[in-house]
This record gives sequence, structure tokens and C-alpha cells, in this order.
Amino acid sequence: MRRQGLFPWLLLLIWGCWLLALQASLVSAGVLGRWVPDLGLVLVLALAVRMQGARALVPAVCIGLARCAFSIDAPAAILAGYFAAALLALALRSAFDLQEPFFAAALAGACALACAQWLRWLRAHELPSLPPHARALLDDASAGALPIALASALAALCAGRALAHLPGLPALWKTRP
Amino acid sequence: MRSMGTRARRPWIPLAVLALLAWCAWRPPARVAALAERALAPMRALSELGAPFELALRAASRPGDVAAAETSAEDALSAQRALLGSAQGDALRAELAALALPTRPELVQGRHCATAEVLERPRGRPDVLLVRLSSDARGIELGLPVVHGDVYVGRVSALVDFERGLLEVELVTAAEAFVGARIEGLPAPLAADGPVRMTVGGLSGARGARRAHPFLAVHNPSERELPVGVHLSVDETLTRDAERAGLANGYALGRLAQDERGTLAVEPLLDYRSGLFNVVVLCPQGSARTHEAPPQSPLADGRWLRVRPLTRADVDPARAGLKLAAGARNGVREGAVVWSRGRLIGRVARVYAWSCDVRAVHDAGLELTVVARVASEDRPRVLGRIVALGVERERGHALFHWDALGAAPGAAQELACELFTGAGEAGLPPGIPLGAGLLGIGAESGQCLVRLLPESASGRHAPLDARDLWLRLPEGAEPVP
Repeated sequence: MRRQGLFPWLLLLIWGCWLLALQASLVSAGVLGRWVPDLGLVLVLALAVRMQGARALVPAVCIGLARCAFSIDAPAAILAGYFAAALLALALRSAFDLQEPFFAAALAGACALACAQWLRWLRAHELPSLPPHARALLDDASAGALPIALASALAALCAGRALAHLPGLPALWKTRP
Repeated sequence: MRSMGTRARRPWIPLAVLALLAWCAWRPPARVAALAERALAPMRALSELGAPFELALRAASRPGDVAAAETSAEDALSAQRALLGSAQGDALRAELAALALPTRPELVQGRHCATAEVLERPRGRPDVLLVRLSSDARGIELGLPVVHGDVYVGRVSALVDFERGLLEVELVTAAEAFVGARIEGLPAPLAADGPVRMTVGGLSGARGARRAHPFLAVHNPSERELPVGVHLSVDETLTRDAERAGLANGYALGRLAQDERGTLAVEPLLDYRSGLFNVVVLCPQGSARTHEAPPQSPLADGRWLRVRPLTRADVDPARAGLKLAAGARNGVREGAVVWSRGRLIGRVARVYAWSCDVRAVHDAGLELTVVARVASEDRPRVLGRIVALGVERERGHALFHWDALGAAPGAAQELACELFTGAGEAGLPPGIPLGAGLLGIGAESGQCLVRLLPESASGRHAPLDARDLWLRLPEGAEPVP
């Protein structure tokens, strides 16, 4: 990559960190309860549907690493979730216009649901054996991933296009005439 | 010019990468995990990018979340004093040590009782305790019996450090452990030829049998047809080392029962897995050991590192954790405790070179050993290991599963208490407060819960003050001046 080609990637990393820091702040403040969108994933998908070829997978790695800096989940688990979401976007964009807000929202919701469930499944796998009544309480307290999925879909609907146009990021996906 | 074979292989590379990542997430190989932790060392720089949001959160903190000026710590010494004061460590530890002493006068006669605090179980050896005496190991010999209250626990199996009084105790649950036992109080036909004797040691039942508190195995009983429910006590009069091992004669082992296969077994009276915080080594009277020094607080050794949070919460609302700006280069180790304003915040789960991940006390799946001081009881109650289940949505209580040994089914009850960390786990000092709680003993056997109430001012759990956040350094670390 030429030197000027690295600068947009650096900006991507910075924007990703800020979005995830904002997401962590929303969780810490508790203002939205469990309805906190996965802003990192929304950004990954907003770029993946616009970038060409295998380069579309690189934002998943960059933003996945950024999420590792704001999450106590295992780094491999986070990277696997975001990478899978980007792969799904690549696979579907030939069949659907994923830049359309409705399709972008549906994709973001589905991917956020899948990522959240994947992380929950991994955590459940690490738990010590518990009796049924304790398992039921655990499942109830952890709640489903649906609020995150719906919030992410809403975020993609309202701000997906804007996220892809954050300063410095269009250089990653705009093709030269 | 690219070959057809190269073009055909390309679509599989991302899938192979995904499969590799998923495998590393599900079954992380130790070497790969260690490499990843080193490779992700610069991650702290990414966390620091979130500083503007952290500052905004701190500025927006409500008054109830921030420590009052008179209790905020300015240096390690005053923070340590605040921790010692709030931890009630000395008083609680003295009470726990007293709980370990035998209560029946005939069990103390002719013996010197040396109390010891359980530090941890060596990795990979769940049937061995590493304990620390209150002074050096003078008068302690291999093979001396170890008890808790009026119940037999095991015997001294190794002298680890004489000056520091560190011993290893092999529990009666160990596969190679054997102790002579007898049953008393049997009906006349069964007791016609004298007391019924047997050997007890190891665990009973099928391998992998799911039981919260496994039974002890019975070997070579002198009678086969025995009623369940009778009490067994130690009787080492027929062993080779009867003089030393016989110090445990009369101490209880448990009640006779039958395991899943119908074989005779012993239902224990103690939670050998996680309920042993203090034990007593029985020494013969007239040995070199004549007195016990008062126990020193493990929190007064200055091994506390002041740390700064990089984040206050996880990006996933289902998780409870934070990241700290201290890592392996600062001496941080996995399992280290983090506290703020005199309360336990959580434990370090993952360590990088310059940062670490901390799981909060209420993060689902976190395990702690805990002691409760129930309002209506004189003595502290050892709960043993509890497992976090997350935060209940209705009342905001942090829920913990508790395997209460001997909790008989009956009327459900809820007891108000104060919760503290217990001993017996590496890196977890005893006596650190968790907060106010409720002990829920369910109507059905096994349905016991511990509830940790949220902090009254904020309604949250484990609120931290960024100016008063401390991390425990491991043994051998230099005390912070």
C-alpha cells in the first residue's frame, strides 16, 4: 500500500474506537438499558457493502481490534463475529442492494443478533455446571440479543450512510473515475 | 498471469480464516492465547482513544457515585487504611479462625491446636490445601492430622516453607488418602463383636457423577449390612503411626450413606471443595509448638497498585467488566482483585503487557469464595463458592448460585447479611466487603441463592471511583511505597 493509502485506515481505526467508546459510555450510563446498538458492527457493514473485493473484509479486522480495546470478551471471539458479518455482507451484496436503508438495516439487525448470540453461546460454554433453576435465572438475567439487534438495525437505518461518509473514510471505498 | 488453480482457491481463504478464528474462540490453545495477548499489547493505545468519553462520564457522575472528600485516597497508605477499616479483616478473620477450633473438650485434651489459614489449592491438585500458620512451622511434622471444628479434614503432607509457616494438607477426599473410622451407637446385634470399623478416603460414586458435594468412599468395612444415617468418627488406633495419627481419634467424618451405585459411602459434614477457610493442625502436647501468634492481616503488606480505568463498562450490556491501564509490565497477574472505596469491584480475567481486563463481581459466570455475616447470627457463616448469574431485571439484585451444604428442604427464608470474600483461593484475600446481601434458602433442596443488593445511591453494582481504584499485586511483588 502506498503511504497515503494508510491514512484512511488509521482514520478508520480512530473512528471505530470513538464509536465503541461512545457505545461503552452508553452502557455505563445505563440510559438505554439493553437497547444499545452495536455501532462498531454498523460501521463495518456500512463499509463492507461499499468496498470492492477482499478489501471489504479489512474493516472487520480493524474495527474488531478496536472492539477488543473496549470489551472483556475474548479477542478471537470478537474478530470471528465481525469477520463473519463482513463475509455475509460480501455474499449478499450481489443479490441485494445493501446500500438501500431498508436492506442495510435488516443486515445490521441480523448480524448484530448473530454476533451477540455467538458471544453468549461462548460464555455459556465456559460456565461451570449449574442446576436447572440457576440456569433459568442466568438466562433471564442475561436477556436475549434482540434489543441489541433492533437497536443496531435502527442505527443502520438512520446513520449507516453517514457513518460510511465520516471524514476520511470515503477514500476507502470511493473508486477513482 | 494467475492460474485457474489460484483463482479457485481464493474464495476459501476468508472461510479458512473465519474457521480458525472461531476455533481459537471456542477452544483457545494455550500457546496461541499467550501469543495473542502479546500481539495485542498495543491495544492500550486504542483504549486511550476513548479518554474523552471517560472524562465526560467522570464529569457527569452523580454525587452519590463519587467518594466523599474525607474518604477519597490520596496515597497507597491511606487507601490501605480505608480498606483495612472497611474490610473488618482482623475481626472477621479472628472469628473464622475461632470457627475452626474444636468445640468438644475431649477433642482438645492432650493436644495443641495450631490454627492455619487456607491460601489456595495448588494448580491441578484440588485435594491439597496450601495453608499458612500464624508463625513459623515449629513443632509441625508430616502426618499430623488436620481438622476443622470437630470434623476431620486430612493430614499434613508437605512442609513448604518453615520460616513462613507454609504447609500442604492432603484432604481426606484425595484418592490416596485413608483414615481409620468407626461407628458407635449401633444396635446390639451389629455391635456384638465390638465397634464396626472401616477405612474412609477418596471420593465415592461413579466417575463424573453429578453431585454438588461428593461422598467419601468407604473401604473394607468390618460389617456389610449397616444402617444409613449413623455417624462415623476417626479411629486410628490400629494404624502403624497410632501415636501421631491417633490425635484425630474422635473427630467426626460424616454420616453413613449410599452412593449412586448403592455402595456404602460417607456423607461429609464439610464443604471440602470450597468451604475451608481455616483449619487446625493437631500437635501433641509437649511438642516444640506451645503458642500461636495473632494472625496478621493479609491486606497490610502494601501490595496494592493504584490503577486508572481505561473503560468503565463493556460495550455489551450483557457483560459487566472494565479495562485498566496496568498490565504484566506492572506486575499484574490473572485473578488479581480490584477494589474501590473499600469494596470488591472484580477480578482480573486477562492480562496484556500494558493493560488488563477485569470481570466485575456480578459478571455472569464469575466464581468467588464468600463469607456472610448474617444479622441474626452470632458467628459468620462460611458460604464457600458462589457463581454469579447476572443482574435480575426486576429488582436490580446481582444473583449468585450457592451450593449450600446440608440445606434441608423446608420453608423458604431470606436472611439479611453482609458479604465478604473468603479464603482458600489464590489471589483472593479474605475479608474484603462485597456489600449488603440476602441469603435465600429455597423451599427445595439445592435452590439456594445469594443476592447482592445494589449500592443505594446509584442503584448500580460495584460503582468505582476512578481516583480510588486499587489492584492487588501477587506474592513476591515489591510493596508500593
